[in-house]
Amino acid sequence: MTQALQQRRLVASYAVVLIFAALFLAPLALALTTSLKSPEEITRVLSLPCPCMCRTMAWPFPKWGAAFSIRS
Amino acid sequence: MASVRRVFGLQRSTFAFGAFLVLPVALFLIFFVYPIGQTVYISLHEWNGVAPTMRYVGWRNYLTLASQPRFLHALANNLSWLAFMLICPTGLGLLLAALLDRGIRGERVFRIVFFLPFTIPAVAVAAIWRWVYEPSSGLLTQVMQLIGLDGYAQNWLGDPKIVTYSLMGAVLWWTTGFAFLVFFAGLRNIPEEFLEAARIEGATPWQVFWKVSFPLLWPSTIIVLGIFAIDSMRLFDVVWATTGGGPAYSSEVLATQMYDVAFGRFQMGQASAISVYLLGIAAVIIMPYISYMAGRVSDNEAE
Repeated sequence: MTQALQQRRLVASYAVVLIFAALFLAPLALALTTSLKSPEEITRVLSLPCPCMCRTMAWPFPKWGAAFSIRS
Repeated sequence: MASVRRVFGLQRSTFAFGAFLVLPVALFLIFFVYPIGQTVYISLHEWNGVAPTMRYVGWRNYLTLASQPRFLHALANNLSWLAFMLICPTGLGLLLAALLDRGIRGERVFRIVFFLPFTIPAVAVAAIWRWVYEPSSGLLTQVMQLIGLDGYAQNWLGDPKIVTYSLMGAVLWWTTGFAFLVFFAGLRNIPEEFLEAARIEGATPWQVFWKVSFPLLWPSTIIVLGIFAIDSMRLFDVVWATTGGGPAYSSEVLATQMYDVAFGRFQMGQASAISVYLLGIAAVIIMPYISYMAGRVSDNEAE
């Protein structure tokens, strides 16, 4: 096996390891930054609505409607 | 004492062994056999946990559960978790260990980074991942916006169809470190002569790994698979602290259902029946691991 091929494989391994290290560290970094926020800021962020939440909340409504409908 | 020995016709050494066994056997009976027996007994009754009397109902609790979609869904979730735990954290741990074993610079730092999540308590993992999966401003949604995939953003923990997969992502992050560490230690214990001999024979790094390293990693693999199989059956804390089994029981596993039925609905009989089911399934799944480990112990003793 040539020296260049070995070098290339090592670089590829290093890149994969780096990507996984970033993925493993990101949630910890998030926990650290969140711990520095004030309760007011956290409450403000959590009160923001988002479209995907509305989508999820929308699907049970017809079922609830059916459950409460009066049967003749 | 002498009279007791005389009555039972025991020798001094046999008697001493027996005397030493009394305490462990008593503890085993009190803390293992008795609770299991009591659980089986309660599972055959209807009881709210506080009433002075129980009503005998026979196998009704078991039959009710077997026909209950909620129980069957939790059981299916447990089996999905089993498949996931045996494949994903094990595979990723092996991959990371194999990559780091190639003598990468900063190996010590990477080792810490990969193992660090495993040291975090389950409830803290749940808190962190609730932030990651927060649908309006969570880390995952922000990253997806950053790379232009915001159209695919989901209500990760609020959508019944994907909530279990979201939880699996959190558990993958949490448990991979254990598999990584066991495999890494296993790889470091492989004698260098074996690898060197394979290289001299002209094997590629891929062949060296699959034909030499991986077969020698078999004991490590068995340990990881066995422990992950046990973990998948007793999974409770991350699910409970992240979603509480919801939404609409969609992420529920048998342990969270058992807790809800016992302490939310006070149906101790049915909760005990769930735990007996869980015990039976876990025993069937984990038995090969236990028999393998017992075989290894007897092999070591023979050597």
